[in-house]
Formats: sequence, structure tokens, C-alpha cells
Amino acid sequence: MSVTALIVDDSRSIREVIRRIIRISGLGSVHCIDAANGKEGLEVLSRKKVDVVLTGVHMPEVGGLEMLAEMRKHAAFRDLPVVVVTSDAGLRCMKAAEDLHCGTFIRKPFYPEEIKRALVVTARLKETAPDERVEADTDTVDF
Amino acid sequence: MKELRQILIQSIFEVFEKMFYTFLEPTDARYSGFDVASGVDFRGVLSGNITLQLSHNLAKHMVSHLLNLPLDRVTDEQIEDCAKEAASMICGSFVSRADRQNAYDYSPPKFFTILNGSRPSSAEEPESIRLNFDSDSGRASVVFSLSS
Repeated sequence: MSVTALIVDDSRSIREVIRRIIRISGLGSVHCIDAANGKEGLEVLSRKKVDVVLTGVHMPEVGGLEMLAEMRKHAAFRDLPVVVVTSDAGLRCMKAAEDLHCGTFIRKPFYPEEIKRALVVTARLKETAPDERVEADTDTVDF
Repeated sequence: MKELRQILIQSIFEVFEKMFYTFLEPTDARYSGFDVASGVDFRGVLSGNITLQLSHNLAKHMVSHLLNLPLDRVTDEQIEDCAKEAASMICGSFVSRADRQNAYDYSPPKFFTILNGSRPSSAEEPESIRLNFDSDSGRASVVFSLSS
């Protein structure tokens, strides 16, 4: 079964890094969709079924926490698993993310294992057995 | 200021090692000849700016390590994005270590191509720190300044 992950960050490189970590993590078939800010993220959510969101915080137009606040107003996204990945590790930012029911808060810079663990814990993705990993791949759609 | 300097060094090492698999060696030599720079302003109880200067070769290796790309496939756009992201991570890491309790605003990271070797900096001002580094792939410098 394929899982769809929405990766929201204004850095194309960070989106690519997260996508690659997901691809090599052995978490099964994960379909990744990119968005460059919260506004694009909300647009993706309005027209695609997403199983987990990984988002930055400080982004142009609409930031990650604003996007998350908007999502939580809608019943369809109230329980959607969210992982926040940000350079801002201040307590206020962490508290704001927690208040919006962010499942995992990851501080940049991060180790690949932290992204993988967050997806296992927050989105309940399961590790694929090593002998099945050849088929596990990331399908990417650039927004 | 000495304490801030130590925190800044820790933040720089953490970002370069974790994200870019690059090991920097602090040096007292004051280099010029940088090719690109990126900077972030922060505003809160402490306010100021952190600017990262890089030689082109080091910037290229950082992209190559981050994105697992051969050096000849690294683009200028990727160099800009990585330099901005590095400055942003150093700034975020520094501020959250220096003052975790208070809220801060951050400017979007800015990127500059350096034409004459070194961006004008406020390194001579009393409230600033300049750190220089060497690595196998090139040189880096970080200038930190507090605004009054």
C-alpha cells in the first residue's frame, strides 16, 4: 500500500534531502509531493489525499505553523500526522507546534535517522523487511 | 561575548558536520577570496546578523555532500539554496542555544555573490565576532554581529 507524504519547505535542497531519506529508509512505497510554502501545502491538501505532512516553519507567504493552524480547523485534517522540521528550536516555536498537535518536532540540522523515526512514530509507517526493499521506492511529484 | 563565540562555534560545527558531512578546522588566518555569502538577521532580546562566507569549491562540495550529487552536476541554484539554508541553520542553532526561552523573528536568508573577495563586514565593531575556517574543500568564514 502506498503512502503519500507532503514535504513543505522553501528550500528545494531540504525537500530533496527529506525525499531521499524517505526513499532509502525502507519504509515501503512512499509517494512524495513537494510544496515550497504553507500556501502551496494547503492547495495540495485541498486536492490530494495526504497521509503525513513534513513541514518547515519560517517560509514566505504562509509559514508552516500558519498552515498547520489552518489545517486543524478542518475535520478532515484534524488528526493528520505532522512532523515539523525547522532551524527554530526556541521553546515558543516548539510550544506552538505542540499546541497544534504536531507529532514530532525535529530541529535542523538533523540526522537522517530522526526523519525516519518520526515517520515511524508519528505516521506509523512500518519498516519494510530488507529483502523487500528493492521494490520500495519514492514516487515524486513536484508541485 | 566569549560565551557567544563558543556557542557560535558549536552551532557552525554541528551544521557543517550533520548536514554537509564537512569538517572545519578553525584558523587564525584572516582569509579573503570568498566567492559566495549568505546571511540571516535575527530579532528578539538579542538582535543581529549572522553571515556565512564560502569559497566556491567548498560551497560546491557542501551541495554535493548534502544532495549526494557528483561535483560536476552541482548547479549555481543549488549552491545558493544550500548557502542560504546553512546560514539559516547556523542562525537558528545559535539563537536557540544562546536564548531558548524567548521568541525570535528571522529574516529570510539572503544570498550574495562576492566579486571582490570579501563582503564588507562589521567585524571591526566591538559587538561582533569573526570566525575563519579551513577544510579539505575550501575556506569558510562566519561573521556575527549584534545590533544595538
